[in-house]
Amino acid sequence: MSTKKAAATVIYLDACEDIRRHERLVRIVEEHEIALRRFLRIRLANRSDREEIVQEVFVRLCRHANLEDKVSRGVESTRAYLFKIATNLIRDMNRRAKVRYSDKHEYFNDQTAADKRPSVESQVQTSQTLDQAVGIIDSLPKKCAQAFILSRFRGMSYREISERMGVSCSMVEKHISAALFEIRNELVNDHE
Amino acid sequence: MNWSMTMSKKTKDLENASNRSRIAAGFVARLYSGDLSSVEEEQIEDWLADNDANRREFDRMVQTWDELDALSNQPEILAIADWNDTRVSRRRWPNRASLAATGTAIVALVAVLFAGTELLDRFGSASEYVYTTQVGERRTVSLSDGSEVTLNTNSKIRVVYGPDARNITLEYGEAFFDIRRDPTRPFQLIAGNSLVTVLGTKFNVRWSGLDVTVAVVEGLVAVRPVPVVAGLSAGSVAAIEPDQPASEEVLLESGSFAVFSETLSSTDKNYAARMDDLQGWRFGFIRFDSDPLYEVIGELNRYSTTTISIADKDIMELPISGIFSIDDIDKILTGLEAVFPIDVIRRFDGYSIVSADSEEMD
Repeated sequence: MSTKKAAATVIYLDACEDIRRHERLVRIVEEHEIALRRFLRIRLANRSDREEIVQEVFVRLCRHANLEDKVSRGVESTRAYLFKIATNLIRDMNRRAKVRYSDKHEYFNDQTAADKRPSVESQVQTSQTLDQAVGIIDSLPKKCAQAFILSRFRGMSYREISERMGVSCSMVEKHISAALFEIRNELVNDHE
Repeated sequence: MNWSMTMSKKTKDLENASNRSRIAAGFVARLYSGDLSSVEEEQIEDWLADNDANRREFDRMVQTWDELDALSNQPEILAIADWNDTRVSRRRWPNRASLAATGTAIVALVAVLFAGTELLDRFGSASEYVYTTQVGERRTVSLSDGSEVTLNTNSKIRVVYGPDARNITLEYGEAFFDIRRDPTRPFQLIAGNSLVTVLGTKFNVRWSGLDVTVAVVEGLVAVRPVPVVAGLSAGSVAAIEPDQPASEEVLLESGSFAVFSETLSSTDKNYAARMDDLQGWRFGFIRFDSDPLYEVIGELNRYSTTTISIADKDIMELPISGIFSIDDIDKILTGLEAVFPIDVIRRFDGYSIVSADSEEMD
């Protein structure tokens, strides 16, 4: 797959037949592509993986039945939505990679070799751990849990959350960070 | 070397690990803000490249974030986000004395009943959720079992879910219940003096303070009177006998509508045709079909923060028909004015409705 930006752009826009939707999509790509690519550079080491995800994100967005709705909630919300799609795609990609023991993914090999206890992934997948994660989230300070849930499970942007909770965007970010720290560490502790 | 091994070494390592973990969590939160700058991108990249432990911790943090997606559709999670400021944890139950004193006898009964029962919900601790709406507000909440409740204007419900039972009290107002079927945990609703028992169904309940109306859209609902026990002391435990005389129980099938008050109950089993009207409020409209003006205004007042009154006796019984959007009271009144022989006088303290024939009072 070509890693040139222009080529990728053409491919993901081709998936859209309706002209008005196409125009809208072009606008969305212009508005979010830089941020999405920056996000992906942090999340994925492999360049062709990144290209695959960028393309798939926009193709999914294009196929979204209520594109109008999604976009009408504002730039931040659209971006939060794009990141959510990207996150799900990355998770699926990582799962596939894990299954076939791909050597493209440095981290998973690394972990498989170094780490014999169950990964967070398999932990979270058992229903017991799901309940446990719910318990951890439930025991977090209220605002902390609320910010985290609205972001992670409701797909709301930090701005939307800040308006809803009546706190600043940076406060929302702090809450989310604190929540994630607790969840990750509680899950690890209980499995040791 | 994995993170758990680092932890067991020295306090210093432990601190480092915890610190590393916090930094990683901070980076993930920054990443998902959507406005990471190029400078910040570089900072993160540098930190990750600095040593393997940083990279691993960040990857695990991000993995936790990713995998939590499995929780997205868990009703429990959404319930946590939906809680309102009046959420009460079980530890605060000592307050029940004051609660009972201020509430009605029914509230006291319910509070005492559940305080005395061993309640462990899925979080491992009993919790009670209270949802309210202001006048003119409408709100849908998802409950931990996947059921949904839509509250109409000026309403309040109290939700107590345990391992064996699901209990809700409609303290006042009106709500539409879409209850998930769960044979292991029967669903019970108390509204006024009525106890409603269902398995899985959709129904509307309104508790006006004088009577309870139940309209069943889907499924089967059993309603029976519950004793209003006055003067229950906070420590005593009361129980609703599950096998009370069945003769008093009224079974309502879908399409039925029933009114219960202290003294009488009436049931209309062929109410299917008006079922849509009864739930119109959920979609933001109310419908009148030759209903007298005083009833129409009574309804509108439920949704209006400004009081509407009828100043002319002559127009009290004026039959009104039409479908109105309840979200704009002023618009409804303008509409009524245009179609019916009435005038609406807008005062600073409310609306006054007069006959169009009479001279405007000022």
